[in-house]
Formats: sequence, structure tokens, C-alpha cells
Amino acid sequence: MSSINNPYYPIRAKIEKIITETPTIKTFVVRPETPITFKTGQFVELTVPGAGEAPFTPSSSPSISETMEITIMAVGCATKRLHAMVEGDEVGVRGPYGTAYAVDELKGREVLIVGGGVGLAPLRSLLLTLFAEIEQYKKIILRYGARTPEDIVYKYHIDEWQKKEKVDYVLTVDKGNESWKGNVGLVTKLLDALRLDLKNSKAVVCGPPIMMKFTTLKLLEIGYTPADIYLSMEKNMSCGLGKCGHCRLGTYYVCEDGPVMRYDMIKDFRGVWE
Amino acid sequence: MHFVTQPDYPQLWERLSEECRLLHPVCSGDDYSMSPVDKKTDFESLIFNAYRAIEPAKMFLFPVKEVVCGEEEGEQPASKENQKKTVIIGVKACDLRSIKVLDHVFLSGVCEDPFYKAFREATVFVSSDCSGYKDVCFCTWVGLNPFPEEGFDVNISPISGGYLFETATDKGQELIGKVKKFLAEPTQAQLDQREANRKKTIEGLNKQMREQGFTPGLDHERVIRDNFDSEIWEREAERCVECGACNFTCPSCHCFFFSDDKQKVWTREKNWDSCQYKRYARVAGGGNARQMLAERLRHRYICKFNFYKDILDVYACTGCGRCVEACIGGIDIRKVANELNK
Repeated sequence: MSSINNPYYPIRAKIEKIITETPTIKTFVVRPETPITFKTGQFVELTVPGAGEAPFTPSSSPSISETMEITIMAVGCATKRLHAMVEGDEVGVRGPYGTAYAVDELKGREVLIVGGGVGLAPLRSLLLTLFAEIEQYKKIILRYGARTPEDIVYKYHIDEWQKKEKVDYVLTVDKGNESWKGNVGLVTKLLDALRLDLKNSKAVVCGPPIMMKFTTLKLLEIGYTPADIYLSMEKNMSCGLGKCGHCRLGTYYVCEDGPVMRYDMIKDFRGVWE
Repeated sequence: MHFVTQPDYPQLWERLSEECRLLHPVCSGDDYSMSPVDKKTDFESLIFNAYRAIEPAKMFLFPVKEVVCGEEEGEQPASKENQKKTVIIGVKACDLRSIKVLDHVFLSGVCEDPFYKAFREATVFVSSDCSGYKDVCFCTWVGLNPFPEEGFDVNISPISGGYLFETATDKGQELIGKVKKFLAEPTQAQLDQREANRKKTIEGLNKQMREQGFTPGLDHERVIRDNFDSEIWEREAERCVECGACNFTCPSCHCFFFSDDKQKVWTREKNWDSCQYKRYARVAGGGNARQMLAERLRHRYICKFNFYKDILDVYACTGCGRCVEACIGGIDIRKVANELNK
């Protein structure tokens, strides 16, 4: 039985390049033996040989299928092992799985994108998608918060993105240092000053659960409706196929009905943010 | 519908054992255990099981552990067992209900699970009516009857002097077609007897449940949904030792985890998992959707009585009572529902 009809079998992929983003975050450029096409926001299961599998949303543009970039923080046993791997090593990829960012829903609108920490990774894929058709959007407002200046990912994009027409990119850090001249404070603080065309705006949020919780509450306070807020939910997506049970959220499986979920779908469930 | 006489019953299975792998219940104390029967078996000693076996039927379709990725690239370890035609005899209505849940999980959605599918296609379910019940049985409390109404290929109903065989599928027809010489037309009186027996079992079970304090008509869906914040979850969880026995004995629990071999690095196993384990919902960053034991206990009930009611319109609790027997802390799903309803 080949990987084509065995959904549990990963496609092997060579690590072509490793970009060190922060002391704990690296971006892995992988080249699967068979190109994997995905929609922005969908996730893949990445096999770290001998250590197991974990779910990640690619951070690269879905227009490229020969290679895929995945930005990963070393936190658990598979990701720590992955961080010790070198260019040329082999990993496995299954997928893509789950829902994508509703790009068509964003067209013609003002898009507010709020990222926290390594949560900018899936949003980078979305941003690259939006940038490719920038004329379709009224405005793209990006607000990003990292713990410290050191923890900022995609530093090499900051200038480029800030100079882009129709793009308004502001960063903040929870805790600055001597050389940091930018904003200090939580990313939610950056949202207060926004002048938004709420009737014509949608928000997309990705970050640690606590950041998503407070960002969502802030967005509701500003006047977004729950249906205007897209969240990337993080649960223990293990099989990716809606079978193994681990990523249950209310009546949904995050691997099937997520990871991108509109807040109105889940707002009444208990324990959404845990 | 066909009639098979008592003396012909063992002969019928002996004949079929020549071509298929047969699993038939055998006595194990007061219980029944599913055992392979073949030419070494004393067929005359085969007994009709009055109630469900110890083993949930899922274990024959969804093994405790199963290699799903082999070492060589693209290789699926050829599991000869799961391709081999297997007739499972004496499955009860409770276990057939669980197969409906398992079919939904493994055969629909994003894709099919090819391993489950191979087992499923090779399996013929020869179910049977319950002619008795255990003290932990409560199928009528969760919307079932103690006799199969769907999901079987052939169903057996015991009546005086023999058995009625009802076929429901082509698979069942094909199986029974091999033993035509043992089949006779049933009389109306025999058909009536089947109905009378069924009624008697329902009445007996309901009487037992009433005596145990489990009154018919409890709306489990509402009771579980409305009591999310009940302190009963905490109280019950005090006796839970997180062994996972409730999940593993449950015919419809189907959660699994992968374990990848540390040495043979592309080898992957699919293993039964338990939602009562702390690591079940934990993510690498440390987050856990159900950190507390009481939350995990409650989750199991929500899964059974709300989640599957919502998505499949059935309870994923079949009333088999295996979890009641298995729990060393004495947590009784029936009593929990009753308590929550107070």
C-alpha cells in the first residue's frame, strides 16, 4: 500500500535550508519528494524521524508547492529533535489538512491581522497570499507582538512589509532592551489606537492561546462581531483526519473543522482557550 | 427468515468453519468470551450466549495496536489477518451500535482508514438476540433494544427447539447460502415466539433496571448538557485512577495515538488511547484542554451523550455496561447520569 491510499504514511521531504529566526525558532525549508499543494492556513503533520509527528501550518506562500517553509519553535520532544537536524536531513510530511483562511471573504475589505510570537508563521503565509493580489484589498493592517526584540520572527521582512503600499505594519514587544526603540507592551494595546472601517473589516488572529483570548475580547470590545474574527486554534491535532479524537473542541475536530475557525463557531463552547 | 434446529446448529458452524475464520462465544465463568472455533473445536459444546461477550467487538476491527507504516518507503505491512474473512457470531445489539459509530469515524470524513476498512469488509456479523442480561446491562435506557435491529448481516433468535436466522445483507445471504441444507421455513408460531421472547427480555431488563433505581425515560442528552458545572464531576473523579479501562472496554471508544519507532524510524503504530489520560489533549507548548481529571471524566460523557448525538443522532454509549464492570473505582455511568438528574 503506497502513501496514496495509506493516509498515515508521510511523504519524505529533504530539509533544504534552515533559517534561524530567534534563539528558539527556526524556519525549515523542506522539499517533499512529491510536491504538496495547500491552501493558506491549512496545516500539515510533520514527522521527525524517530521522535514522532506534530502539526504545523506552513509559513510560505501556497503558490509554491515544490518547497514548503515551516517556522517552528523548539518546545516539545519532536521540535527539539527537529532543531538539532541539519540541512540535507530527511523529515516526513502528511497533509494538507483542515480549513484554510477564507481569502475570498477578505477581498474588498480592510484586513486586520494580529499575530503573537511564532503565531506569525501561518499569518506570513496569509500575508504572502494577500500581497500577491494586493489590489483586491482595501488595506492590510498587521499588528505583531513578541516577548522581546530577540523573539521577533521574520526580522528580514519588517522593512519590506512596512514599505508596502496599502500595508500598515506595527510591532511591539512585551519587554524591550537598550537598543529597542519601538513599542513596548502587549499587542492588544496596539489595537486601541486603530481607526477602522468596522463594517468593512475582518480580523485574523494567530498566537498563543492567552494572546488569542485577550485579542478576541479586545476585538469584540472595538466592535467586531464574532463572525468577523478568524482564529487559528491550537489543539493536539494528531491524525489530521478527524479520527483519533485528540483535537476535539465542542462538536468540532480542529483538524477537520479548523485550524482556522470563525469565533462565532466556537464562542459558546467551554474551555476554548485552554 | 430460516429455522435451524438445535442439533443442526453446531453442524452448521462446523461446515462453515471449513471456509471462514469463525469467532463464537464460549463460557468463561458467568461470562462469554469470543474465541476462534475451528476443526479442533468440539462443536457440540457450542452454546448460545444469553448476553454480550466480555470483549467489545471493536477489537476485531480496530486492534489494540497495529503497524500502519512499515519500514520500507511506501510499504504497508501486509496484515494477513485483516484480509481474512471472519464471521463474528453472537454479537449483540449494543456492539452493533458501536460499529455504527466506528464506521462513521473510520469510513467517512476526510478519508477512510484503509486498515479498518479491510477488517470491516472481511467481517460478517452474525448477531443474536439477548435471551438474558447482566446486572450491568442498560441498553433500553440509551435508546436500544436487547435484540439487533440494524447493522447485522445475519441475526439469530433463539426459540424452542432451535434458532431463527434472519439475513439482512448480501454478505449474510452468501454465508447462509453455503449451509442451505440446514435451513427450514419457519412457522408463524415460531415467528410469534421470537416476538414474545424479545418482549420478555425487554420487560425483564426494564424491571431489573427499575429495581436498581434506573427509571426508563431519562433524557441523557439533556442531563449531560445541562450539568456542565455540576460538582458531581469532581466527586466522581475522586475515585478515578486514570487507568483508561472505561475507554478500552467501551465498544464505541475509538481514540488512538501514533507511536513512531525510535530505531526503525519510519515505522508507525496506531494504538488505542484514552481520553482519561492527562497527556491526551496536551500540546507541546504545555497547554491542555482538559488539565483536570474531572474535566476529562466529563469529556467522556459529553462525547457519548452530546457529541455523537449531535453528529450522528445516536448515543455513543450502547448500554453494554462494560465500563461499569471495568472501573476499579466503582464509577458507574448509570449512577452518574442519575445523580446529575437529581
